[in-house]
Amino acid sequence: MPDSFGIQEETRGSAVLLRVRGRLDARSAPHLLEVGSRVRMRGRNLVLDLSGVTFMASSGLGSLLSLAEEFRQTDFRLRIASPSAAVTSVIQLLNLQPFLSIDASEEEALHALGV
Amino acid sequence: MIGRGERIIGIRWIVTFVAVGLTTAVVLSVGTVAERNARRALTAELTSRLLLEARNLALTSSGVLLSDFPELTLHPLIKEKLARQPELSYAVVVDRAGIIQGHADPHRLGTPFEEPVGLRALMDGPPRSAGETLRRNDRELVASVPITHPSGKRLGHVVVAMRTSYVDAVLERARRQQSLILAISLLIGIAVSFLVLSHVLRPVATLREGIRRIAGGDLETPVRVSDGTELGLLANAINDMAAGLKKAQMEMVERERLVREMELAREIQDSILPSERIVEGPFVIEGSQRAAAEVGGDYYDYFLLPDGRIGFAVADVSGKGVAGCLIMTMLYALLRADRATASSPAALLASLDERLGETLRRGSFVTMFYGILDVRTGRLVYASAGHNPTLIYRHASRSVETLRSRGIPLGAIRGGAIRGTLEDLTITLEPGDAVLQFTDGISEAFEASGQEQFGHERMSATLRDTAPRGPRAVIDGFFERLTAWTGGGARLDDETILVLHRDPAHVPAPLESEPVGNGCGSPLPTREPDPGDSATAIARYDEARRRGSRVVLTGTSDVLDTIRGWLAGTPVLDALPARERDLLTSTLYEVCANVAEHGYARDPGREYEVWWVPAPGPAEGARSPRARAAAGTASERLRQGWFLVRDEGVPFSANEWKGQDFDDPRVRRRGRGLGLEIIHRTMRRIVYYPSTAVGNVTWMCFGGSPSPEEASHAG
Repeated sequence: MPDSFGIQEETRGSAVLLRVRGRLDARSAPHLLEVGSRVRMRGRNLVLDLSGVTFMASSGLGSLLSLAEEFRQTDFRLRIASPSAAVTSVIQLLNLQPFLSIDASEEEALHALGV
Repeated sequence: MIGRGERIIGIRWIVTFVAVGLTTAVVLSVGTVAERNARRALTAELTSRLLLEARNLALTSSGVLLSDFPELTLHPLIKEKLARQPELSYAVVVDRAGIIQGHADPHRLGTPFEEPVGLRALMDGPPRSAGETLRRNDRELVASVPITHPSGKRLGHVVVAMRTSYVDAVLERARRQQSLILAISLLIGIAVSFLVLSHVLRPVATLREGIRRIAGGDLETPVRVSDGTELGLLANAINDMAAGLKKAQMEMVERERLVREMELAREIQDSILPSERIVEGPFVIEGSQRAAAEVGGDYYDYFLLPDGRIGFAVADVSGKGVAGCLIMTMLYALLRADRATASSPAALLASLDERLGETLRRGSFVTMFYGILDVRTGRLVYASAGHNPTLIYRHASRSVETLRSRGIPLGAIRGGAIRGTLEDLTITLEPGDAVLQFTDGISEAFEASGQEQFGHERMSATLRDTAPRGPRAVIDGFFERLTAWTGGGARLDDETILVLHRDPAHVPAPLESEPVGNGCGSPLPTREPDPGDSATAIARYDEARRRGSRVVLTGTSDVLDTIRGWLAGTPVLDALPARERDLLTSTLYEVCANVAEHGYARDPGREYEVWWVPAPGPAEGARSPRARAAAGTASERLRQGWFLVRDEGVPFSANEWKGQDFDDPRVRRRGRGLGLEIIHRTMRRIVYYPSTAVGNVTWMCFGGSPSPEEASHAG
């Protein structure tokens, strides 16, 4: 089922790459927040590949925002890679691009992190 | 209290020092007397010995003096005596002519005897015979005894001297021994008295330590002194005191806990009483409560029912305190659960009786009034379960009527006996009329002297005087007069008052404040509909039912799948460009998720509906591509129609949305409240009508407004 939520984790040098797929809603957002916070606590940079997100609810967006703020308060960085149209439309609607570092692809995001 | 830094002089030491001083004084006094006596006895003994030596020598000499050469016998005799007794300084035998006949020194024999100088007679001493003398000077003690022939003839005399230095040495030795004994006695006395006192006074230190512990807050460890003296009693008294302190402390903690619980109960009570008046058509309903010092069981409530009528209740729970407050809270919950389904006030009270009866303790009961007002007709249907009568102010006659009913209190008799006593009564409220309900904290308030209650007459008069000025004036008037009546002391009971007033000058507003079928395509109306104007909401809902397409969801529906499926199967919405379809999906998802989560708490048994109502026009309902093309693109048509969501859940305050400031990192970190943000930025206009006769209605027109500022200008 393309809509079912899942996170695939991969380590790329000093960064962790999380490929998120499915619905990012009230049920799955806390999971993403938890996995993301764990990466921050391990002291790694984080790339969130959101190309597989089919729907993003306000709670999903909320988890992205707070995760970004968590990383901003540390020496580590969070970048969003190749967000799907469902993600982009909501981020643009609320003009949140200035607060999220978004790249067109995983490679660009990793490159920006120096990996 | 004795601080750590202050010098402490121990009782043990004080008493020991005093005891030692006394012992020393006694020992010294006794020693002095004993020494004097010993000295006297010793002196007497030595003089007796001296006299005896002299007598012996005299006796020996009496025979020898008559011989031819007495000096030959006496010289060795005396020499040996002196050698044997060194304390004797000399011994001399003198004949009648005063010539020395016996002496230790042979050169002195035959020489005249010269008395030593400075001799003075000794007054005391042993008894002396005739001719015997005892004398002394600074150096010697001298005894002189006559030598007598058995015939009685005097032959001479004997002089024997003893060195006073010897006497002094003997006395000194005796004195030294005595001093040693005294000193040892003194030391033993001091040691014994110190040890005994230490033992006796040891509990003082224990007591001091115990008191210090108590002062430090340790009330658990008792002072252990097993002592038969007053100190033991003191220890027991201290332990009793600590136990008393502990008890008092626990009582204080318990009292504080009760006070906190009471405060909490009071807060709960306050929080469930309505805080604002309801204005519905010509009617205003408002209540107020002045709480007694102790939390009580008074309760009042009013609310809009789903069909647009107003329900209101006043109740008094027998008993006060937390128990009364709990019953009141239960009443609040039960009333809210039953209010929409009960067929009449009497039926509602009967149902409450049944459900409260399971919980109320025997002897506890609740008196309650419940009324339902139809705001369109002014008809008030009410029933009372043993509650105070209702007062009605009639504006036309400026009189007060008293409405009594015969129901018994809730929970008073188990087994549904209440059903036979409850009745629904109906009155009609004309313009200017007012209804007053209250609890007996009002009617039974005693004047300051405790003789008379406020009573029915004063209540009627107060209502008559204040009702023409509206419900607030009635409430203020009552509280003012009650304060004056009771003298403003502490209230013994809650004073609860509820007033329903019909505005005499109210002209009914037209049902529609704007043409309902106008849709969102036309320019904005000059006046936004009043969010409280439920008639507009009902009219819009009616129109949606006539012309719109809907989807029904429950508290547990998969909102996303349902909305997507509905959009895909609904004309116009099925043809939207991807971005608009995504935004619309997001927004409807947020609205529905809000209802399901906050309004219905994910109750699978409760439904709500989402309507899409296209703008009316020649193309409405047309299915042919040409007709649809004539009506404009799907995007254009989306902006001309409107959406309506109707639910029956707990209303929320969506109209108070102010927009989020994402520049604030705290807002971003919180990551909340984004749903309303999405809704308001996607929808051009949103009007929320909570608690209308058909439920909560949300009316929305699509057309993203770029900023919250613009959105708030629009709606």
